Amino acid sequence: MILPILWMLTVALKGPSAVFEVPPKLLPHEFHFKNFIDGPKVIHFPRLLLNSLVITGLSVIGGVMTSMMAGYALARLRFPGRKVWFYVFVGSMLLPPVVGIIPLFQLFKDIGWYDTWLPLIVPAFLGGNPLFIFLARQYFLSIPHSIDEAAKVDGAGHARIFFSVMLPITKPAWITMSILAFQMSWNDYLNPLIYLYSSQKWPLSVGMASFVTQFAGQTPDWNLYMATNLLYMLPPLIVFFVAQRYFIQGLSALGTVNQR
Amino acid sequence: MKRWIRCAGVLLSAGGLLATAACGGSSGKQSDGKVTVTLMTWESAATNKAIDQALTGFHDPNITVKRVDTPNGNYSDKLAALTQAKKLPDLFWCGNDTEQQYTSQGLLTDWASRLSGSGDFGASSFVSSTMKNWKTADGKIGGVPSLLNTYGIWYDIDAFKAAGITVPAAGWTWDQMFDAAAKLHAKGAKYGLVADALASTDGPFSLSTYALSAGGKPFADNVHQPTRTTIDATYTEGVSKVVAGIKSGAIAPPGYDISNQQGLFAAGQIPMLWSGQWFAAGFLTDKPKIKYGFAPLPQVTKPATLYDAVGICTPSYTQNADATFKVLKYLDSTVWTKVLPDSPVAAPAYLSAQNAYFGALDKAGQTSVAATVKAGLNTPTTIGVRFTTQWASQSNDLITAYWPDILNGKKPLSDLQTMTDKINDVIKNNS
Repeated sequence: MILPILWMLTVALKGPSAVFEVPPKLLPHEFHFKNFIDGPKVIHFPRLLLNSLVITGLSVIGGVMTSMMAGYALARLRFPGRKVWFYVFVGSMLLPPVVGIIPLFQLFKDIGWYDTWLPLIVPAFLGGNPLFIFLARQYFLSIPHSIDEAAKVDGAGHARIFFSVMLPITKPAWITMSILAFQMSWNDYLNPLIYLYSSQKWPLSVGMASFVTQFAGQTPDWNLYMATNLLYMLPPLIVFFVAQRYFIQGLSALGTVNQR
Repeated sequence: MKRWIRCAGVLLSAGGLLATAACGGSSGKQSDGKVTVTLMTWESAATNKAIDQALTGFHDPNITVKRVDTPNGNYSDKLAALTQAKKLPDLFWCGNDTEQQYTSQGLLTDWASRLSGSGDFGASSFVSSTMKNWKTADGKIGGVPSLLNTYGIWYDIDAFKAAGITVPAAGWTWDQMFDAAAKLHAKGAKYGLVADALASTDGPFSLSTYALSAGGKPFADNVHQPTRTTIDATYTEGVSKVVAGIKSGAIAPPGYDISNQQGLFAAGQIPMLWSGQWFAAGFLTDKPKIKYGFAPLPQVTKPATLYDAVGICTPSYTQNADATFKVLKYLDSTVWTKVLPDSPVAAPAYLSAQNAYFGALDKAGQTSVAATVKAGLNTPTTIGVRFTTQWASQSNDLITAYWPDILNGKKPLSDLQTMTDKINDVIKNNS
């Protein structure tokens, strides 16, 4: 992991022709720190950063909140068809996401959501991530039922139990989900590419693709690309390092599920 | 916890407001009768900037030209989404394949009547082979060609001198190319010739230049409306020579990573490279360490080359065809004359705009590139680089299943016939 990031850093500091030196040199002859200013300028970085933060922030809140609620219901509530719903959620994980692209595109276009952020955010609020529902359910199953019962004795309803009792003790689970959801939404390229027409609404992932060209005669500015890419990578890295303790806890706790 | 929920609520409301913000984007007629013509390219930020600058020279009080940004990566996906949403800009960069497919589906404005005649923007003012290729079977022209690619052989002059070989020039033969590749390999080059155009799924089409040059039949009788593919004796002879070259190590095998072939050539690591004229633009900025030249594709008895063009298309629902055509005309005739001098990437299809391209090459001392591009444009015998049909991916699958193994010697040459029989079935099923 360290070597690719080091390589990115060295390319980001090189001049445009030094990037193509054969054999490649790890250390640049001259340090072009200006790449970190010129690169972001090419794609209007601050505006796209704000777009990415809003889209990702809302997706994370929506995805994690609804998954936790659905997971709680599947693990703690007794209602008819509970297992069927669980199997439907788990089964939908087997569907490749690409299968839904055309029908969803048609749907969002027909309801007037084309060229808005809604297709990128609203599905998260509708339990759009079955993996998170599965993870949440498994985590809730590992919590002893005596805790709910004690809360019920004190007069708490499900909403109170969920928000005041369950959320604090499932912190590692929803922080893990938040990290994963952040990463997925931050790096999502295809959905914003197809749903957003106006470049003012692009997130950074789409803006980054403006550096790379697949067409004849155009040599990408790899140094500017790498400099901007390092800045693009920073938020997920910060999120991961800040919350990594919970991430490890969340993943390891899934291995100690107490099925009831 | 309450504070957390309140914060989330505020965030949700703010984001919701932002997310539901209405979109602009679409072009059309404004209330004062003025028209906005939208334009989308697949160019880099630098080239787009040059195009924007050139478009400032377009003066029509009733027309505003607005370029719509799109990332260069995944242009075809973006195009597919815009087509589905009926949001295609009035003018968008397109390949010959897109133009043929979209026109046959009625998705593009037919410019045939506006291009007829011998006016200053009639069909005769373009390179003749391009107009022929951009016309559909029923005579429609859904887009106007803009730039033409010419294929040839980039060679490292010093490597050729060191191996005691005469550098390639117009009229050189396939046997001379194979011989040079063997000698360059023997002199220490990893491969004497890197020719992805022969080894990839475009290979069967590229090798048609051998058969055509020898008086034989090309792989496909037509890349737009093919009726059959053929493997004749001359074609098989050409393939057998490539197979021998790959076996000896003189030619790079299928699967060779070409992602940095331009850099490797510029660094003297590839002495002979089959590619297009577009490297010239990159070499002006990246300055190769070697002395290099660009020669036409080799021949057997007469010249034969590949045809490849890109252009500008217009959706059928453009709101003001007159205004759109005016901008299209300006793009093809004038914009390239302002953009290409700084980045001579390809020859314009519009004949009067070609001086700017060749002038830029001459000024940069790229005389062999200019000569080879001119030779390519004047070669009467051409074959398209690949099928432009909607079912092309089906034939590509078959080519992928047979062609690399045949070139690598893992399958016999007789399997060429099996491959073409199967492709002919695909053609038959789709016709």
